[in-house]
Amino acid sequence: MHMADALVTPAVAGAMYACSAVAAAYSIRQVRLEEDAKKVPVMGVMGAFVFAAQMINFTIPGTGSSGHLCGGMMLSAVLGPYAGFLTLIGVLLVQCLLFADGGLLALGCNIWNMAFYGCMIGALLIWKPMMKKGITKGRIAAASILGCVLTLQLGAFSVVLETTASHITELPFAAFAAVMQPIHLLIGLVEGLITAAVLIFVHEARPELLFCSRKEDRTAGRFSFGTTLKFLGAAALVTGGLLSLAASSNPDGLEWSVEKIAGTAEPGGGAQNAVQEKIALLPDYAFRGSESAFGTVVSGIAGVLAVAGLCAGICYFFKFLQKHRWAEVKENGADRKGSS
Amino acid sequence: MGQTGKAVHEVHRLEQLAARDQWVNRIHPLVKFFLTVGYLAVTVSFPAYDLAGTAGMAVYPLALLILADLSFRDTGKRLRLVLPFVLLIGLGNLFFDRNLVQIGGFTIRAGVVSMAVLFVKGTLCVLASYLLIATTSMEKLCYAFGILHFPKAVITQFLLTWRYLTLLLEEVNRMTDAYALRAPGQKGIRMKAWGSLAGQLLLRSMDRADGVYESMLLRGYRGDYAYIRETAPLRGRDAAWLLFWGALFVLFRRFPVLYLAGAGIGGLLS
Amino acid sequence: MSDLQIEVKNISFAYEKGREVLSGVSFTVAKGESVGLIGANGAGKSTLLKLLVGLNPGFSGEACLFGLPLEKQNLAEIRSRTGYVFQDSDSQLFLNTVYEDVAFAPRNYKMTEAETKERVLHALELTGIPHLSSRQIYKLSGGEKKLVSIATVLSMTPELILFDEPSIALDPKNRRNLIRILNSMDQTKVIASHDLDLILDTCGRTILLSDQTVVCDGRTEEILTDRGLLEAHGLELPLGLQRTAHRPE
Repeated sequence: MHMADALVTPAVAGAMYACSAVAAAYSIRQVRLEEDAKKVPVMGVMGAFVFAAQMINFTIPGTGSSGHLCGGMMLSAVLGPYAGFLTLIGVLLVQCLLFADGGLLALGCNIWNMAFYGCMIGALLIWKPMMKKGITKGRIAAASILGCVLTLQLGAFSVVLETTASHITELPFAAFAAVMQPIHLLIGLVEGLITAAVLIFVHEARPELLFCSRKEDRTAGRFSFGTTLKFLGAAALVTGGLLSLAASSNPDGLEWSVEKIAGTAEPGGGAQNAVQEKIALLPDYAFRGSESAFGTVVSGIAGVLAVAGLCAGICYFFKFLQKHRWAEVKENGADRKGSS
Repeated sequence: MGQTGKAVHEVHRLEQLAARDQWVNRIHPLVKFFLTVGYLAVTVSFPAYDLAGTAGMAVYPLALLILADLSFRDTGKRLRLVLPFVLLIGLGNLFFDRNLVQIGGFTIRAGVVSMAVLFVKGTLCVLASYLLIATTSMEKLCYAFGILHFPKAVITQFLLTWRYLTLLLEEVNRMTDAYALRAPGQKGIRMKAWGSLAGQLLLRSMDRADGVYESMLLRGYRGDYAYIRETAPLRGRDAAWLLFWGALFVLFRRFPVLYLAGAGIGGLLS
Repeated sequence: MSDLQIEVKNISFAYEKGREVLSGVSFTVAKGESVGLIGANGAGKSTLLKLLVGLNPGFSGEACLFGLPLEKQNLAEIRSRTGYVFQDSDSQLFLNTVYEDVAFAPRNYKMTEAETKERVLHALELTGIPHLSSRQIYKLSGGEKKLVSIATVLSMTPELILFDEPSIALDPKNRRNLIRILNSMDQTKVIASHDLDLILDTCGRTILLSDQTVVCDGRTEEILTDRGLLEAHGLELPLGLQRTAHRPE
């Protein structure tokens, strides 16, 4: 599931970094670390816990193979969506630096694919609504399995999108997705079962540790419609952005690069380039020959700025809407202004 | 040694490498961080068929490997983990990229070239990240993050994860060993114990977090600890190092340096 | 009165309603005293120590440290004047190198880097471990970790230090070293332990905690030689005082 650096282009990597950074900045405000100093050590140690728990081999009954935890859903069920998200960022950073799982460049993608979906979608759209009427074993199991399956499907689909948008592989989009989605359905099911087992254990031993176990957490769910809208919006935006990137920027006209390495031109690239120049902000290869790199870098940067700007703009728009609709949120908005 | 044991070993090995007092280790962490990210961006930005251009980027990791006096064998071991996935994706090119190219009289599928490029990119990127962490300790890296205005709390959180990583890995090691000793012949943790084993670990981690918090609290912590105040000014040679490699990356990206060099050598020979 | 550093009157505390861990505990500790707090496992030693630094709020009774009532508005000052050495050094030492960890408290108390450095080096010298300054915590042995833990507290220059089972998991040599260092410190000390030999070597006065309350408070030699008293409360004579080796069948 970890994207490697080699599978993304700088534009896609930058765009995903921008999206993840927006989500992280939003989370930092929501977690309010200044007010609750205890969250920092809890997040730090729980990050190490997730890392260690990922190493455990869970035998899948009836098969010889074993399953593993990814931990997003479990973390957010204990820490809540925002603290869980920040914690998982720390885990992913350690993984990419230490064990070369994923890469520094693809970190933005990995944060989005695993931490964002696992924590935000898993906690806010699944865990919180399902635990509204109180936590029971059955609900924990259902939420864990549903959450893991759904968030892994979203993550796997994002991997396909990001890879396709990067034009790294000639693997057709449909074929790639047809491989990735079913595999991750299975992985999600197993992870869901493990997560459910762990959370039920925690529920029995120390029920107060679970997110939404206290009343105020649950009643805070009043805003969940706005939050839902925001997260669905952000997810849709990123998906759309990636799809359009995939559609509009053919990062290297096949003709040009084949010509470069072999000295013979292959037909077929010309028409595409013409279309592409109309759609993309800057044509990918504005100049031929040695100047081309410049064009690529510029269009890469422009792409990053455009997507980041768009993403931030829409988030601010949602925040603006929220501020004017709910009186309670108004206070929060003022708080945030004060703290920032 | 099990998987967890290996992970602990790897963490310790990297910390030892990063703690060495060496020229490369002493370069300002911010410079190394920027160079690494820049290197990764430039490397992956090469066109999918530009094998020679991509391969040219090997100069940076090669130079660092040598300058930092790192073992090629240990370095090679790290590649095993990452490359399979990259190769798997690359295999797609082999089947779906049916264009043909001619190289030195042979006609081959373009997919072979693009797969090779992907492989080279994957290798180089892993190498560059490894070289960063093998020459820069996590504290120094966090110091660089601090200069970049990452939130203090997040840096502290990250360092705590780093600190308790090996401790909890060892804990997992003990728990799974204790399990295996009482359940001979089982390869992993059977379903009945899934919840209690990982759940115990979770509760212990929570207790550990409580202890850490109390320890911080009793030593004056109020949620705003700025981790490292080490004053490490950017020296002239740090800037020179940054400029040199930055310029080189741009040069390699914009000009087919390998071709020009090759042509130059060819001209001399004939 | 002003030289009393701890004044506890009739304190009761329960983690869960109806299950008291401490009940009706009263004692005082004067400046410069070294007091042993003994009791069997689960007697409430750690709970009492944590309560004294405000980690167990919600107790009943009166507690004053340095003449300040143990209330929320005084906590910051009380904590800045009190050092607490945890039982588990791995919880106490949460940063990556010895220097950074020992420097944590001075930096939190807004010292300049120069002052911090001075404090750190002094604390490491007092505990006899200046050579460990740049070492990584995970590389330390158990004994070294304990000494670093004490140094992290000494760098705050506290007037009162509370020790929770300081000798646990130390080998004889490290234990002897610990005793030497404890005896060289002139701060007021409260040492909670069931290592009675340690108490015998370091404390002039001993408080015996059993059945949630103070059973006995007096001179160490008197309490620790009273076999009947100790055995009635789940403890045994210090090994150093067991003249005839007792071999269980």
